Amino acid sequence: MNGIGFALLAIVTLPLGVIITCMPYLTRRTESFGVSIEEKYFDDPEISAMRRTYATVTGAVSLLVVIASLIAAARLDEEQLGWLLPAAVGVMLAVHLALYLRFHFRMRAMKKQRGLVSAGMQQTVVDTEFYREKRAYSMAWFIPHLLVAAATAWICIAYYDDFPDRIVMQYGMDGTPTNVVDKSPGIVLFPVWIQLLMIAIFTVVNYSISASKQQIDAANPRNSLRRNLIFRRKWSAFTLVTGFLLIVLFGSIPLQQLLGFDFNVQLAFILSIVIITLLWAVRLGFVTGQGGSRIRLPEEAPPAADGKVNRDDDKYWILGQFYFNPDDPALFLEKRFGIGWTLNFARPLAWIIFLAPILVVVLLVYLAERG
Amino acid sequence: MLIQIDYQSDVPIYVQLTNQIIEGMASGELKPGEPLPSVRALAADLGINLHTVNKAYTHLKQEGFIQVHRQRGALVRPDPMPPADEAFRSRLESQMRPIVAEAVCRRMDEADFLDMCRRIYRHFTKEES
Repeated sequence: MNGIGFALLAIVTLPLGVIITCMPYLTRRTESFGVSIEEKYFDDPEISAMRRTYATVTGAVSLLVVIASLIAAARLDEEQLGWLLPAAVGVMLAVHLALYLRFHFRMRAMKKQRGLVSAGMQQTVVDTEFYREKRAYSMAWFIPHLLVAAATAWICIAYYDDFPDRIVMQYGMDGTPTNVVDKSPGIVLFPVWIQLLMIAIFTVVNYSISASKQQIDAANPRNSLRRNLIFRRKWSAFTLVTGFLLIVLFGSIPLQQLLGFDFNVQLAFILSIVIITLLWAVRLGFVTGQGGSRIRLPEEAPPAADGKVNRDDDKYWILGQFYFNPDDPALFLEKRFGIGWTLNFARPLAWIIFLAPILVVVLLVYLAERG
Repeated sequence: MLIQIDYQSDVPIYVQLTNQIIEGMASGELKPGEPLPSVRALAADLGINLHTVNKAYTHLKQEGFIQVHRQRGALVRPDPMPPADEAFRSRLESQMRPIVAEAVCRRMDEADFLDMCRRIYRHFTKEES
């Protein structure tokens, strides 16, 4: 196995390990393992201890998985290597999920015993001016993405005759072609289909950042509002810029096929874009926290003194992870355990948004395999 | 303006919404002609049924506090409310009677009661009490 295979393994598993290990520290302070709590309980010794145990075990297992998969990579043959990365990621996510569930149920039991959200003080705060604020960057920023996709399509069509007769669809970890198909317009244009799919996905993501419902901390409305706007704008910028890099990355594929430049140059280019995207995501995760909860404001407005706390909406969260509230017309809202947004699965449109990209990817892969 | 909805309150949510928008107009936190969130956006932010918000907006529209346009959505009434005429006064009086009556039943002092009214009034007009 060559250096690039090792690099890819490390590049994907290390940031993933860091993020899943630190997850309980990146959530809002009004939430613990998918259970809503009052902010004052976030530093409760018992709850802090749960976070520590979770982080220690997840961190240790992740580290073992990274080391084990790097050792394995050196010994396995090409056939088995294809499975190594998905398997390593799978094990890490499984451990993360198992520990999450363990502490989720412990939190629920603890809440039953101790309350953790005072019944008489629950409140939801909304700002009537919220949707007049700038929440995400304009959709016009997708024009460069579309131009790159158009240029890629143009190259594929204009120079169609110059493409090799057999097109490599997939490379092994060591850079040898593992799937080669006959040339056809659909196959040559394959990177363009991927580009268009990605632009569609990023557009929906940017829209969801802008449209996701406002979730203001009732105990500290003004500050949480400002943090949340910064949070949204930072992730919108991340989506637009890394989205653009990925579109460029797929645009380089036909160029490589056409000009036949060194595969390693191409791979180095791909890896650097993946590294930039992952490092930026991890950094942003630590800077913003979920909903902007970790952002330090230059000057803070005094918190509300009326002792109000957020509404306890645990009953709408299946396992603390899946929001299902038929009464709520909201489609997008913040995740509870993790950073980013999720869907209200009580709405049919949520299922369409959730399943559509998966179906399109399956379709594309099927078409590509058929050649 | 921040709207705060209490879920444990005996006051129904649509009444809380209605009251707070009127209070926002009285205190000047909601400016004349200021756009209000759409029914859907407000319902989503509060995580409640569309009908609840609709009920509040319909009531506010009927009473002339807000306007609902097909394109521009809901707006705070751009011009001042009509003055407190005879009709308003008699309606206000009939609405206040049971409130005053309960205060009397509970033997609340007249001066106390009037003080409270003054405090609330001045809270909105921002005069020192």
